[in-house]
Amino acid sequence: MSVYTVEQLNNYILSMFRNDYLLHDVSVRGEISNCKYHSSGHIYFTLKDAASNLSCVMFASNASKLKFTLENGMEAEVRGSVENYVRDGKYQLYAKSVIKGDAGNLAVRFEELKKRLREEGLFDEDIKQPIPKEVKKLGIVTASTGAAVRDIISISKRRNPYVELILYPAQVQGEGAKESIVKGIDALTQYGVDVIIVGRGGGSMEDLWAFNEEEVAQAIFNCPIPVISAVGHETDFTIADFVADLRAPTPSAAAELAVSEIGPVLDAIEDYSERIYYTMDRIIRLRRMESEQFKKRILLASPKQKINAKRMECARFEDKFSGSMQEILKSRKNMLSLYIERMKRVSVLDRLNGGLAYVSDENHKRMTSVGQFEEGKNFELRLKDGVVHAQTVTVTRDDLCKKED
Amino acid sequence: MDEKEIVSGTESTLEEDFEKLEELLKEMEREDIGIEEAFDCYAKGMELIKQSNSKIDLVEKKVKLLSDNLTTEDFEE
Repeated sequence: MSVYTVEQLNNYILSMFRNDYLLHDVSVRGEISNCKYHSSGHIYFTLKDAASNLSCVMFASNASKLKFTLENGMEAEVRGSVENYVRDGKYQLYAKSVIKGDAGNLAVRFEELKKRLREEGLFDEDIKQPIPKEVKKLGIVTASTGAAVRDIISISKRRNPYVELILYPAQVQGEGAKESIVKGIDALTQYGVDVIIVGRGGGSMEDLWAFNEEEVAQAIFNCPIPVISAVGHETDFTIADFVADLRAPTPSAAAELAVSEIGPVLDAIEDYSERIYYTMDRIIRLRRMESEQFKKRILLASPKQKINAKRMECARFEDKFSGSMQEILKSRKNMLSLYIERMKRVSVLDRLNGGLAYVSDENHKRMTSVGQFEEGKNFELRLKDGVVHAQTVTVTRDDLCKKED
Repeated sequence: MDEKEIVSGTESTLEEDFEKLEELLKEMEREDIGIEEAFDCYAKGMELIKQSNSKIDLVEKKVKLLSDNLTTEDFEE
Protein backbone atom coordinates (compact mmCIF):
# COMPACT_ATOMS: atom_id res chain seq x y z
CA MET A 1 0.00 0.00 0.00
CA SER A 2 1.36 3.39 -1.01
CA VAL A 3 1.62 6.21 1.47
CA TYR A 4 0.93 9.78 0.22
CA THR A 5 1.57 13.18 1.57
CA VAL A 6 -1.38 15.31 2.76
CA GLU A 7 -0.91 17.63 -0.19
CA GLN A 8 -0.87 14.74 -2.63
CA LEU A 9 -4.16 13.44 -1.24
CA ASN A 10 -5.81 16.83 -1.26
CA ASN A 11 -4.68 17.37 -4.86
CA TYR A 12 -6.07 13.96 -5.75
CA ILE A 13 -9.41 14.90 -4.20
CA LEU A 14 -9.33 18.23 -6.10
CA SER A 15 -8.87 16.42 -9.41
CA MET A 16 -11.74 14.07 -8.56
CA PHE A 17 -14.02 17.09 -7.86
CA ARG A 18 -12.95 18.68 -11.11
CA ASN A 19 -13.68 15.59 -13.15
CA ASP A 20 -17.15 15.19 -11.67
CA TYR A 21 -19.87 16.14 -14.12
CA LEU A 22 -22.11 17.66 -11.47
CA LEU A 23 -19.65 19.40 -9.20
CA HIS A 24 -17.85 21.42 -11.86
CA ASP A 25 -21.02 23.41 -12.67
CA VAL A 26 -23.80 23.35 -10.09
CA SER A 27 -26.52 25.63 -8.75
CA VAL A 28 -27.30 25.53 -5.06
CA ARG A 29 -30.19 27.26 -3.29
CA GLY A 30 -29.99 28.35 0.30
CA GLU A 31 -29.84 31.22 2.77
CA ILE A 32 -26.73 33.41 2.96
CA SER A 33 -25.02 33.66 6.31
CA ASN A 34 -21.57 34.66 7.68
CA CYS A 35 -21.25 36.99 4.71
CA LYS A 36 -17.90 38.85 4.63
CA TYR A 37 -16.78 41.31 1.97
CA HIS A 38 -12.95 41.15 1.98
CA SER A 39 -10.85 44.19 1.13
CA SER A 40 -9.44 42.21 -1.80
CA GLY A 41 -12.95 42.23 -3.32
CA HIS A 42 -13.60 38.56 -2.64
CA ILE A 43 -16.78 37.63 -0.80
CA TYR A 44 -16.85 34.82 1.72
CA PHE A 45 -20.15 33.41 2.93
CA THR A 46 -21.94 30.29 3.99
CA LEU A 47 -24.96 28.94 2.19
CA LYS A 48 -27.25 27.08 4.52
CA ASP A 49 -30.60 25.47 4.85
CA ALA A 50 -32.31 23.92 7.86
CA ALA A 51 -30.08 20.84 7.85
CA SER A 52 -26.76 21.75 6.29
CA ASN A 53 -24.06 24.35 5.62
CA LEU A 54 -21.83 24.97 2.58
CA SER A 55 -18.77 27.25 2.52
CA CYS A 56 -18.72 29.58 -0.44
CA VAL A 57 -16.32 32.05 -1.92
CA MET A 58 -16.85 34.53 -4.71
CA PHE A 59 -13.70 36.01 -6.17
CA ALA A 60 -13.46 39.69 -6.94
CA SER A 61 -13.64 39.16 -10.72
CA ASN A 62 -17.10 37.61 -10.34
CA ALA A 63 -18.17 39.70 -7.32
CA SER A 64 -17.73 42.90 -9.33
CA LYS A 65 -20.45 41.74 -11.74
CA LEU A 66 -23.04 41.39 -8.95
CA LYS A 67 -25.78 44.00 -9.21
CA PHE A 68 -26.79 43.72 -5.57
CA THR A 69 -25.17 43.26 -2.22
CA LEU A 70 -25.19 39.88 -0.58
CA GLU A 71 -26.71 40.04 2.88
CA ASN A 72 -27.16 37.57 5.66
CA GLY A 73 -30.60 35.96 5.62
CA MET A 74 -30.98 36.49 1.87
CA GLU A 75 -32.43 33.63 -0.10
CA ALA A 76 -30.14 33.01 -3.02
CA GLU A 77 -29.34 30.63 -5.78
CA VAL A 78 -25.56 30.34 -6.19
CA ARG A 79 -23.97 28.88 -9.29
CA GLY A 80 -20.38 27.74 -9.50
CA SER A 81 -18.06 24.79 -9.05
CA VAL A 82 -17.34 22.77 -5.95
CA GLU A 83 -13.63 22.33 -5.41
CA ASN A 84 -11.23 21.20 -2.76
CA TYR A 85 -9.11 23.91 -1.16
CA VAL A 86 -5.80 22.05 -1.00
CA ARG A 87 -4.18 24.21 1.71
CA ASP A 88 -6.97 23.59 4.23
CA GLY A 89 -8.28 20.32 2.88
CA LYS A 90 -11.73 21.88 2.78
CA TYR A 91 -14.16 21.76 -0.08
CA GLN A 92 -16.15 24.85 -0.92
CA LEU A 93 -18.38 26.34 -3.57
CA TYR A 94 -16.56 28.78 -5.84
CA ALA A 95 -19.44 31.08 -6.81
CA LYS A 96 -19.52 32.56 -10.30
CA SER A 97 -23.01 34.14 -10.12
CA VAL A 98 -25.74 34.66 -7.55
CA ILE A 99 -29.46 35.02 -8.24
CA LYS A 100 -31.39 36.65 -5.47
CA GLY A 101 -34.45 35.09 -3.89
CA ASP A 102 -35.72 32.02 -5.47
CA ALA A 103 -35.67 33.90 -8.75
CA GLY A 104 -33.79 31.01 -10.20
CA ASN A 105 -37.02 29.20 -10.20
CA LEU A 106 -38.79 31.90 -12.18
CA ALA A 107 -40.28 29.62 -14.80
CA VAL A 108 -41.76 27.38 -12.12
CA ARG A 109 -43.10 30.34 -10.18
CA PHE A 110 -44.53 31.81 -13.36
CA GLU A 111 -46.42 28.63 -14.17
CA GLU A 112 -47.63 28.25 -10.60
CA LEU A 113 -48.92 31.82 -10.36
CA LYS A 114 -50.48 31.62 -13.82
CA LYS A 115 -52.31 28.44 -12.88
CA ARG A 116 -53.52 29.83 -9.57
CA LEU A 117 -54.68 33.19 -10.94
CA ARG A 118 -56.42 31.44 -13.82
CA GLU A 119 -58.26 29.26 -11.33
CA GLU A 120 -59.16 32.36 -9.31
CA GLY A 121 -60.74 33.80 -12.46
CA LEU A 122 -58.40 36.72 -13.00
CA PHE A 123 -57.96 35.81 -16.67
CA ASP A 124 -61.64 35.25 -17.45
CA GLU A 125 -62.53 36.66 -20.86
CA ASP A 126 -66.05 37.65 -19.88
CA ILE A 127 -64.90 40.07 -17.18
CA LYS A 128 -62.50 41.87 -19.44
CA GLN A 129 -63.46 45.48 -20.09
CA PRO A 130 -63.74 46.69 -23.66
CA ILE A 131 -61.26 49.35 -24.73
CA PRO A 132 -63.22 52.56 -25.41
CA LYS A 133 -63.05 53.77 -29.00
CA GLU A 134 -62.87 57.44 -28.21
CA VAL A 135 -60.02 57.83 -25.74
CA LYS A 136 -59.40 61.40 -24.63
CA LYS A 137 -57.03 60.75 -21.73
CA LEU A 138 -54.52 57.95 -22.02
CA GLY A 139 -52.65 56.84 -18.91
CA ILE A 140 -49.22 55.24 -19.30
CA VAL A 141 -47.34 53.32 -16.62
CA THR A 142 -43.77 52.73 -17.78
CA ALA A 143 -40.26 54.06 -17.41
CA SER A 144 -39.95 57.73 -18.36
CA THR A 145 -36.88 56.94 -20.46
CA GLY A 146 -36.34 54.31 -23.10
CA ALA A 147 -37.92 53.13 -26.31
CA ALA A 148 -41.27 52.04 -24.82
CA VAL A 149 -42.41 55.49 -23.69
CA ARG A 150 -41.02 57.14 -26.83
CA ASP A 151 -42.90 54.69 -29.07
CA ILE A 152 -46.17 55.09 -27.17
CA ILE A 153 -45.97 58.89 -27.26
CA SER A 154 -44.98 59.19 -30.92
CA ILE A 155 -47.58 56.73 -32.17
CA SER A 156 -50.36 58.23 -30.04
CA LYS A 157 -49.55 61.73 -31.26
CA ARG A 158 -49.34 60.65 -34.86
CA ARG A 159 -52.77 59.01 -34.68
CA ASN A 160 -54.45 61.69 -32.63
CA PRO A 161 -52.56 64.74 -31.34
CA TYR A 162 -55.62 65.80 -29.34
CA VAL A 163 -55.41 62.90 -26.93
CA GLU A 164 -54.02 63.82 -23.54
CA LEU A 165 -51.15 61.56 -22.45
CA ILE A 166 -50.55 61.16 -18.72
CA LEU A 167 -47.34 59.32 -17.90
CA TYR A 168 -46.68 57.80 -14.52
CA PRO A 169 -42.88 57.36 -14.51
CA ALA A 170 -42.59 53.88 -13.04
CA GLN A 171 -39.63 51.78 -12.12
CA VAL A 172 -40.12 48.71 -14.28
CA GLN A 173 -37.32 46.44 -13.12
CA GLY A 174 -35.26 45.67 -10.04
CA GLU A 175 -36.04 46.23 -6.40
CA GLY A 176 -39.28 48.18 -5.91
CA ALA A 177 -40.51 47.77 -9.49
CA LYS A 178 -43.73 45.95 -8.65
CA GLU A 179 -44.62 48.52 -5.97
CA SER A 180 -43.93 51.33 -8.42
CA ILE A 181 -46.12 49.79 -11.13
CA VAL A 182 -48.97 49.24 -8.66
CA LYS A 183 -48.67 52.86 -7.48
CA GLY A 184 -48.80 54.03 -11.09
CA ILE A 185 -52.01 52.12 -11.81
CA ASP A 186 -53.58 53.50 -8.61
CA ALA A 187 -52.46 57.08 -9.27
CA LEU A 188 -53.83 57.06 -12.84
CA THR A 189 -57.09 55.53 -11.60
CA GLN A 190 -57.46 58.33 -9.07
CA TYR A 191 -56.43 61.00 -11.58
CA GLY A 192 -59.01 59.68 -14.04
CA VAL A 193 -58.08 58.46 -17.50
CA ASP A 194 -59.97 56.48 -20.16
CA VAL A 195 -57.41 53.71 -20.69
CA ILE A 196 -54.14 52.72 -19.04
CA ILE A 197 -51.19 51.19 -20.87
CA VAL A 198 -48.93 49.23 -18.49
CA GLY A 199 -45.67 48.00 -19.92
CA ARG A 200 -42.02 48.28 -20.79
CA GLY A 201 -39.61 47.45 -23.57
CA GLY A 202 -37.90 44.12 -24.15
CA GLY A 203 -35.50 42.45 -21.74
CA SER A 204 -34.58 39.21 -20.04
CA MET A 205 -37.10 37.21 -18.05
CA GLU A 206 -35.60 38.73 -14.91
CA ASP A 207 -35.95 42.24 -16.38
CA LEU A 208 -39.63 41.64 -17.14
CA TRP A 209 -40.26 39.90 -13.84
CA ALA A 210 -42.15 42.73 -12.14
CA PHE A 211 -44.96 42.10 -14.64
CA ASN A 212 -45.19 38.53 -13.36
CA GLU A 213 -45.71 39.58 -9.75
CA GLU A 214 -49.05 38.87 -8.14
CA GLU A 215 -49.31 42.41 -6.73
CA VAL A 216 -49.18 43.83 -10.27
CA ALA A 217 -51.66 41.26 -11.51
CA GLN A 218 -54.10 42.12 -8.72
CA ALA A 219 -53.73 45.86 -9.33
CA ILE A 220 -54.52 45.36 -13.04
CA PHE A 221 -57.41 43.05 -12.17
CA ASN A 222 -58.92 45.50 -9.69
CA CYS A 223 -58.39 48.56 -11.87
CA PRO A 224 -61.80 50.00 -12.81
CA ILE A 225 -60.25 51.52 -15.94
CA PRO A 226 -59.49 49.27 -18.93
CA VAL A 227 -55.84 48.22 -18.93
CA ILE A 228 -53.73 47.33 -21.97
CA SER A 229 -50.56 45.38 -21.19
CA ALA A 230 -47.51 45.96 -23.36
CA VAL A 231 -44.55 44.08 -21.99
CA GLY A 232 -41.44 43.38 -24.01
CA HIS A 233 -41.58 41.84 -27.43
CA GLU A 234 -44.29 39.91 -29.20
CA THR A 235 -42.93 36.59 -27.89
CA ASP A 236 -42.88 37.70 -24.24
CA PHE A 237 -45.91 36.64 -22.24
CA THR A 238 -46.28 37.85 -18.66
CA ILE A 239 -48.95 37.42 -15.99
CA ALA A 240 -49.86 41.07 -16.62
CA ASP A 241 -50.69 40.13 -20.23
CA PHE A 242 -53.12 37.43 -19.11
CA VAL A 243 -54.91 39.60 -16.56
CA ALA A 244 -55.03 42.79 -18.64
CA ASP A 245 -58.21 43.68 -20.51
CA LEU A 246 -56.18 43.60 -23.70
CA ARG A 247 -52.67 42.36 -24.44
CA ALA A 248 -50.62 44.36 -26.90
CA PRO A 249 -47.61 42.56 -28.36
CA THR A 250 -45.43 45.67 -28.00
CA PRO A 251 -45.68 49.19 -26.53
CA SER A 252 -46.12 50.59 -30.08
CA ALA A 253 -49.01 48.21 -30.71
CA ALA A 254 -50.56 49.28 -27.39
CA ALA A 255 -50.63 52.89 -28.54
CA GLU A 256 -52.29 51.80 -31.78
CA LEU A 257 -54.90 49.79 -29.89
CA ALA A 258 -55.63 52.61 -27.44
CA VAL A 259 -55.67 55.61 -29.75
CA SER A 260 -57.85 55.59 -32.84
CA GLU A 261 -56.91 57.78 -35.77
CA ILE A 262 -58.62 61.16 -35.65
CA GLY A 263 -58.26 61.95 -39.37
CA PRO A 264 -61.11 59.75 -40.59
CA VAL A 265 -63.34 61.00 -37.75
CA LEU A 266 -62.82 64.64 -38.72
CA ASP A 267 -63.41 63.70 -42.37
CA ALA A 268 -66.64 61.96 -41.42
CA ILE A 269 -67.94 65.02 -39.55
CA GLU A 270 -67.09 67.22 -42.55
CA ASP A 271 -68.77 64.76 -44.86
CA TYR A 272 -71.96 64.63 -42.78
CA SER A 273 -72.03 68.41 -42.63
CA GLU A 274 -71.86 68.64 -46.42
CA ARG A 275 -74.38 65.87 -47.00
CA ILE A 276 -76.92 67.42 -44.62
CA TYR A 277 -76.44 70.83 -46.21
CA TYR A 278 -76.80 69.61 -49.80
CA THR A 279 -79.71 67.34 -49.00
CA MET A 280 -81.55 70.27 -47.42
CA ASP A 281 -80.66 72.48 -50.37
CA ARG A 282 -82.00 69.87 -52.76
CA ILE A 283 -85.24 69.52 -50.80
CA ILE A 284 -85.74 73.29 -50.80
CA ARG A 285 -85.13 73.55 -54.55
CA LEU A 286 -87.42 70.61 -55.22
CA ARG A 287 -90.20 72.03 -53.05
CA ARG A 288 -89.77 75.46 -54.62
CA MET A 289 -90.16 73.97 -58.07
CA GLU A 290 -93.25 72.14 -56.92
CA SER A 291 -94.73 75.29 -55.42
CA GLU A 292 -94.02 77.19 -58.63
CA GLN A 293 -95.97 74.56 -60.47
CA PHE A 294 -98.82 74.80 -57.99
CA LYS A 295 -98.81 78.56 -58.38
CA LYS A 296 -99.14 78.20 -62.11
CA ARG A 297 -101.98 75.75 -61.74
CA ILE A 298 -103.78 77.95 -59.23
CA LEU A 299 -103.45 80.99 -61.44
CA LEU A 300 -104.82 79.02 -64.32
CA ALA A 301 -107.81 77.99 -62.25
CA SER A 302 -108.55 81.50 -60.87
CA PRO A 303 -111.74 83.47 -61.99
CA LYS A 304 -109.55 86.30 -63.13
CA GLN A 305 -107.73 83.94 -65.40
CA LYS A 306 -111.04 82.62 -66.68
CA ILE A 307 -112.30 86.13 -67.34
CA ASN A 308 -109.06 86.94 -69.07
CA ALA A 309 -109.42 83.87 -71.20
CA LYS A 310 -112.98 84.89 -72.15
CA ARG A 311 -111.82 88.39 -72.77
CA MET A 312 -109.14 87.10 -75.03
CA GLU A 313 -111.62 84.98 -76.80
CA CYS A 314 -113.87 88.01 -77.26
CA ALA A 315 -110.98 90.01 -78.60
CA ARG A 316 -110.22 87.23 -80.97
CA PHE A 317 -113.81 87.17 -82.15
CA GLU A 318 -113.77 90.93 -82.40
CA ASP A 319 -110.70 90.72 -84.57
CA LYS A 320 -112.29 88.06 -86.61
CA PHE A 321 -115.53 90.04 -86.96
CA SER A 322 -113.90 93.29 -87.75
CA GLY A 323 -111.70 91.47 -90.19
CA SER A 324 -114.61 89.94 -92.00
CA MET A 325 -116.53 93.18 -91.85
CA GLN A 326 -113.66 94.92 -93.50
CA GLU A 327 -113.56 92.16 -96.03
CA ILE A 328 -117.22 92.53 -96.70
CA LEU A 329 -116.99 96.29 -96.96
CA LYS A 330 -114.02 96.01 -99.21
CA SER A 331 -115.67 93.55 -101.52
CA ARG A 332 -118.84 95.62 -101.56
CA LYS A 333 -116.80 98.69 -102.39
CA ASN A 334 -115.18 96.78 -105.18
CA MET A 335 -118.51 95.66 -106.45
CA LEU A 336 -119.80 99.21 -106.25
CA SER A 337 -116.91 100.54 -108.26
CA LEU A 338 -117.51 97.78 -110.77
CA TYR A 339 -121.16 98.77 -110.97
CA ILE A 340 -120.20 102.35 -111.33
CA GLU A 341 -117.93 101.40 -114.19
CA ARG A 342 -120.74 99.39 -115.75
CA MET A 343 -123.18 102.16 -115.06
CA LYS A 344 -120.81 104.53 -116.64
CA ARG A 345 -120.75 102.39 -119.72
CA VAL A 346 -124.54 102.32 -119.94
CA SER A 347 -125.15 105.81 -118.68
CA VAL A 348 -127.69 107.70 -120.70
CA LEU A 349 -126.15 110.97 -119.74
CA ASP A 350 -122.81 109.96 -121.22
CA ARG A 351 -124.50 109.02 -124.43
CA LEU A 352 -126.41 112.19 -124.47
CA ASN A 353 -123.13 114.01 -123.94
CA GLY A 354 -121.78 112.14 -126.96
CA GLY A 355 -124.53 113.64 -129.05
CA LEU A 356 -127.08 110.80 -128.97
CA ALA A 357 -130.69 111.33 -127.96
CA TYR A 358 -133.04 109.44 -125.70
CA VAL A 359 -136.27 108.61 -127.48
CA SER A 360 -139.48 108.19 -125.56
CA ASP A 361 -143.19 108.42 -126.18
CA GLU A 362 -145.43 110.99 -124.74
CA ASN A 363 -145.64 108.96 -121.56
CA HIS A 364 -141.79 108.94 -121.20
CA LYS A 365 -141.63 105.30 -122.10
CA ARG A 366 -138.42 104.42 -123.86
CA MET A 367 -138.70 103.73 -127.53
CA THR A 368 -136.02 101.53 -129.04
CA SER A 369 -137.68 100.04 -132.15
CA VAL A 370 -139.30 101.52 -135.27
CA GLY A 371 -142.17 99.24 -134.48
CA GLN A 372 -143.22 101.56 -131.69
CA PHE A 373 -143.64 104.43 -134.08
CA GLU A 374 -146.79 105.26 -136.14
CA GLU A 375 -147.15 108.03 -138.59
CA GLY A 376 -148.37 111.17 -136.91
CA LYS A 377 -147.58 109.87 -133.40
CA ASN A 378 -145.90 112.31 -131.05
CA PHE A 379 -142.64 111.46 -129.35
CA GLU A 380 -139.89 113.15 -127.45
CA LEU A 381 -136.17 113.43 -128.08
CA ARG A 382 -134.13 114.22 -125.04
CA LEU A 383 -130.74 115.74 -125.81
CA LYS A 384 -128.05 116.83 -123.39
CA ASP A 385 -129.42 120.29 -123.11
CA GLY A 386 -133.15 119.88 -123.47
CA VAL A 387 -136.17 118.06 -124.93
CA VAL A 388 -137.49 118.16 -128.49
CA HIS A 389 -141.25 117.38 -128.98
CA ALA A 390 -141.53 115.73 -132.38
CA GLN A 391 -144.09 113.94 -134.64
CA THR A 392 -143.46 110.79 -136.72
CA VAL A 393 -143.53 111.45 -140.46
CA THR A 394 -142.69 108.05 -141.97
CA VAL A 395 -141.33 104.79 -140.67
CA THR A 396 -138.78 102.84 -142.64
CA ARG A 397 -137.64 99.54 -141.40
CA ASP A 398 -134.14 98.30 -142.21
CA ASP A 399 -131.92 95.65 -140.71
CA LEU A 400 -128.87 97.80 -139.96
CA CYS A 401 -128.48 96.61 -136.41
CA LYS A 402 -129.97 93.22 -136.80
CA LYS A 403 -126.66 91.41 -136.31
CA GLU A 404 -126.09 93.09 -133.00
CA ASP A 405 -129.39 91.92 -131.70
CA MET B 1 -87.47 70.72 -32.39
CA ASP B 2 -86.95 68.09 -29.75
CA GLU B 3 -84.65 69.84 -27.29
CA LYS B 4 -84.29 66.80 -25.11
CA GLU B 5 -82.97 64.70 -27.91
CA ILE B 6 -80.37 67.29 -28.80
CA VAL B 7 -79.25 67.75 -25.21
CA SER B 8 -78.86 64.02 -24.75
CA GLY B 9 -76.51 64.14 -27.73
CA THR B 10 -73.76 65.63 -25.57
CA GLU B 11 -73.63 62.37 -23.61
CA SER B 12 -73.37 60.21 -26.69
CA THR B 13 -70.21 58.95 -28.33
CA LEU B 14 -69.12 60.17 -31.75
CA GLU B 15 -70.08 56.81 -33.15
CA GLU B 16 -73.62 57.21 -31.83
CA ASP B 17 -73.75 60.73 -33.25
CA PHE B 18 -72.76 59.37 -36.65
CA GLU B 19 -75.50 56.76 -36.46
CA LYS B 20 -78.03 59.49 -35.68
CA LEU B 21 -76.76 61.61 -38.55
CA GLU B 22 -77.09 58.63 -40.85
CA GLU B 23 -80.72 58.19 -39.71
CA LEU B 24 -81.50 61.88 -40.21
CA LEU B 25 -80.06 61.77 -43.72
CA LYS B 26 -82.09 58.68 -44.53
CA GLU B 27 -85.17 60.53 -43.31
CA MET B 28 -84.30 63.58 -45.40
CA GLU B 29 -83.79 61.46 -48.49
CA ARG B 30 -87.37 60.19 -48.28
CA GLU B 31 -89.35 61.17 -51.39
CA ASP B 32 -92.36 62.48 -49.51
CA ILE B 33 -90.64 64.44 -46.75
CA GLY B 34 -92.33 67.75 -45.94
CA ILE B 35 -90.31 70.93 -45.87
CA GLU B 36 -90.95 71.52 -42.14
CA GLU B 37 -89.92 67.97 -41.34
CA ALA B 38 -86.82 68.36 -43.48
CA PHE B 39 -85.88 71.59 -41.72
CA ASP B 40 -86.32 69.86 -38.39
CA CYS B 41 -83.93 67.10 -39.49
CA TYR B 42 -81.54 69.70 -40.85
CA ALA B 43 -81.46 71.64 -37.57
CA LYS B 44 -80.95 68.45 -35.56
CA GLY B 45 -78.21 67.30 -37.90
CA MET B 46 -76.35 70.59 -37.76
CA GLU B 47 -76.62 70.58 -33.96
CA LEU B 48 -75.18 67.04 -33.87
CA ILE B 49 -72.30 68.11 -36.10
CA LYS B 50 -71.62 71.05 -33.79
CA GLN B 51 -71.61 68.72 -30.81
CA SER B 52 -69.39 66.18 -32.56
CA ASN B 53 -66.86 68.90 -33.28
CA SER B 54 -66.95 70.14 -29.72
CA LYS B 55 -66.31 66.60 -28.47
CA ILE B 56 -62.96 66.67 -30.19
CA ASP B 57 -61.01 69.29 -28.35
CA LEU B 58 -58.87 70.40 -31.29
CA VAL B 59 -55.91 71.50 -29.22
CA GLU B 60 -52.70 69.51 -29.28
CA LYS B 61 -51.89 68.23 -25.81
CA LYS B 62 -48.57 68.10 -24.05
CA VAL B 63 -47.54 64.88 -22.36
CA LYS B 64 -47.92 65.19 -18.59
CA LEU B 65 -46.00 63.49 -15.85
CA LEU B 66 -48.15 62.31 -12.97
CA SER B 67 -46.70 62.21 -9.48
CA ASP B 68 -47.84 60.17 -6.48
CA ASN B 69 -49.66 63.17 -5.00
CA LEU B 70 -51.64 63.40 -8.28
CA THR B 71 -50.08 66.66 -9.43
CA THR B 72 -48.89 66.92 -13.01
CA GLU B 73 -46.09 68.69 -14.80
CA ASP B 74 -45.12 68.86 -18.45
CA PHE B 75 -43.01 65.92 -19.57
CA GLU B 76 -39.85 66.88 -21.37
CA GLU B 77 -39.71 64.41 -24.23
